[in-house]
Amino acid sequence: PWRKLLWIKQDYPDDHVDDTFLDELQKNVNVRAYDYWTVVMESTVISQHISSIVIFIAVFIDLFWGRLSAQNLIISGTVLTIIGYIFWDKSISKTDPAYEYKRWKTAKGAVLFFVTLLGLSPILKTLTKDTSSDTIWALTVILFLANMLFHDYGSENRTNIKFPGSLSTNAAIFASVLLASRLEVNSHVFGLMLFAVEWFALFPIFRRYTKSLSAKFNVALTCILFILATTLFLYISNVIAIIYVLGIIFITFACPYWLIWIQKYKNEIHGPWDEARPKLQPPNE
Amino acid sequence: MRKIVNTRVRSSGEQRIQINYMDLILNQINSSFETEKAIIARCQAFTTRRNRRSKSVSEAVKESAVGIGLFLKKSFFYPINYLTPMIKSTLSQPMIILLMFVRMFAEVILRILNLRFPPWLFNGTALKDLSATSQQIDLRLQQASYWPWQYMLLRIRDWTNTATTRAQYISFYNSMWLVANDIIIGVTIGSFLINNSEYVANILLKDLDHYTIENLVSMIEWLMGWPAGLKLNSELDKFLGELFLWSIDLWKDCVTTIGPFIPEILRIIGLSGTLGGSMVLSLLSDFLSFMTLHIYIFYMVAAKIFNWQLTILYSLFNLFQGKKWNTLRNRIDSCDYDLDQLLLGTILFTLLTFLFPTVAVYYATFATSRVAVIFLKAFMETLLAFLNHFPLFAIMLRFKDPERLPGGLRFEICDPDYFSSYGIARVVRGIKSIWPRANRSIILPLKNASNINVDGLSSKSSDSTVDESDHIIRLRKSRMTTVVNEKNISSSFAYSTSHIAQTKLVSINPSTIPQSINSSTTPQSSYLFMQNLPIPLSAIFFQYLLLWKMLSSHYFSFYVLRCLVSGEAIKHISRLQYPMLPETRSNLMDFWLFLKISFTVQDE
Repeated sequence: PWRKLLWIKQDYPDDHVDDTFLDELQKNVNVRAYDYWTVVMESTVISQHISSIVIFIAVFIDLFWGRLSAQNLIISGTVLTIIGYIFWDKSISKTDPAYEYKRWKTAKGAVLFFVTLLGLSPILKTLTKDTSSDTIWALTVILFLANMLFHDYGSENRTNIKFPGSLSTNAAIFASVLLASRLEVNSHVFGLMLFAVEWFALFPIFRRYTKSLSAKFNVALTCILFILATTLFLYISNVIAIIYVLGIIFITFACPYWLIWIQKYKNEIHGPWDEARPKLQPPNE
Repeated sequence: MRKIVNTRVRSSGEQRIQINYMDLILNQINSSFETEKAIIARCQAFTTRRNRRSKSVSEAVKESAVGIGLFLKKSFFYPINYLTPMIKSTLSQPMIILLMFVRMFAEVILRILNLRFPPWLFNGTALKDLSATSQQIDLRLQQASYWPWQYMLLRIRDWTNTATTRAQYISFYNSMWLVANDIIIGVTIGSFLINNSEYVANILLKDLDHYTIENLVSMIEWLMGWPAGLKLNSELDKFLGELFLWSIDLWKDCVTTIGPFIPEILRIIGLSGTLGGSMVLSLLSDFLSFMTLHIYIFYMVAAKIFNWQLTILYSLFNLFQGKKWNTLRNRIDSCDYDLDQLLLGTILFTLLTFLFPTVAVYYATFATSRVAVIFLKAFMETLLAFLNHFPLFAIMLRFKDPERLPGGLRFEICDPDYFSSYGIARVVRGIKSIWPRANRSIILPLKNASNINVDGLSSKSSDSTVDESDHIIRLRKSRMTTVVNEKNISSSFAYSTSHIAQTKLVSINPSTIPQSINSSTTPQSSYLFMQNLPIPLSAIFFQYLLLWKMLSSHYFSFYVLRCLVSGEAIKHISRLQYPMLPETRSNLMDFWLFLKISFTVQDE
């Protein structure tokens, strides 16, 4: 029989191609068959993020036009953050008992941050007074796009306190500073900044945590955000609201179907010529 | 000939240990010349006794004139010659003590001037670097303490080592002449200043006010309102502008209080002209830097803020991308920041980005004005350099007697039948030998050109040796028309000849001559013409080339550009004016010995 070895002399001619030549070729080994509804569940991450950006823009527009008062924003934001934090803290301390000492650190950090933001608001108010509005809007759009594209949409179960990716958070904060500098009153600036920090830095952690907690809660959260975004934008501009709704529907329902449909064109080849992947020993229990 | 050259070259390849065949030959030539001169002198005395021919009228007149002159000299100077030993013997002891005190005083001043500040104050500069006057005093005192040693060297008169003694002689008299020139120029300028101090003070005040104060004020006011259409952050703009305007108001008050004293100051500067024109120049330079002190302070403040802003912006930009500077590995690595660090960092980054153009514009204004002041000071320093180190003596020697500045030898192989032809052929040959013949003459360049560098002394530092000899060799290469390989020659030798006649015949053993020159089969001697070439003029000024190179490499380099762009302070180069003094001064013991020797020698 023909052997796939070059260093011995075999009876076959030099250009003999045997039938067993490509036996070790494996096609589409890593391809999984996706289930439609699972993919839909997973796509809620993306729609949640887009909704949060839309909600933030709606809040800014309302603040800009004076429909929303700064005090309401500050109070509601702070209350919601505290509720969320207590909820998260209770759940975490069940799994990680050594979490007690971190409470003091987080409280200290929060107070420090609060006070710094309060002090920086007057400077931020007049930061871009001389720049024209068009520049600001354009910059903001680019930065929010960066935030959306570079966000950490990891779908593994993670309960550790890993902040969501530096560049996306930084882009979002930069954009919110730009937007805040368009406002006229100090308290407005402070309110928007505080809300932005809570919304773009702390809320993703919460979202990721609830996703790993229970699927129903995740779906509920998605629906809440969707409804909130739609209602907020209905007062601002109908067109944008309709575009938003259509977009969310597209992402949630049409894209999973599309993904599954093009899976059949997948043509992946593996073989013994790939790089070796070391199999790590499981830890001895 | 080639073999001699080659043996020299091979041995000079290792560490400059040279078998001095050439030096031996030159010593032989010099000693034969001296003996020939001595013999001729003796013979002349001898022959005039023998061949006493009748004198012509002109000779008789000359003799009588010489005789009268000698008689006058003797009668006039006789009492002085009688008195001077007595004066000297009484005065020598006090003179020694006085000179010793002066020397100690000078040493003390030099020590004080060379003190260095601690690193946390003024960045560790020496005291003398702060002002041009102290540099000038330092230079003069160092020169003055070096003169006795030079004078001692001159008196040894060792003609086997004539290169160094020649150089010391020239540099000693050069510095003497320069100091005298300096004092003359200084007295002139000083008297002018003293007579017209009011007028000059008025003009000075008016100019300073116009250029340093009014211009600056109008510039800052322009910056405060959207200069050239640049949109600066108005709050910060107004704040900085008002800060600087207030400081300028304070400075104006200072200037008006000093104003009435300026004529007095100018008179004092004029008085110091007796110490030399260079002192006047350096005092004027110090006065100028004192009057522009406010520009210096503004520049330091603006540069600090700008530099600070730039570094913070850079590190915050890294934080924006999620990276950090890893000092252990000297590179940028990704980093896990805490959440609050990230948030605060981003907010500060936005803040600083929008405040950047304002600060940059203020920094640019003050940096340009500081650069203008530095240019002015550099101009004065170059004038000082001219006054201090101009090679007058060397230039005079070059024109009067070029052979006293040896700049290499030129060898020319003469025809084998040189001696066998007379009359016209010899004349023709003489005419032909005026311009160097291609393929026949060999020119040997200089080694250790600093040995005979005419403005300075033998360099004790070896790096300047290499530079200068390379420099001289580069000059020489353009005139190298030689059979011998250029590469061999460039590892160079020094041949300085003293008082050697125009051409000398050197006879060489025939076994060393290549066959092409030897035409006949029987061994004959071949003859070489050896000619002393004087130094080219550009080599005399090579000190200035060195100075210019040092200045331009320090001030026109990327270092300065980087400092200007990033807002760091530009460092001054020290020891700019002293490339030719030795590194260490002779101490007081040597001076004491020198005084004793010089005064006791005169007493004998």
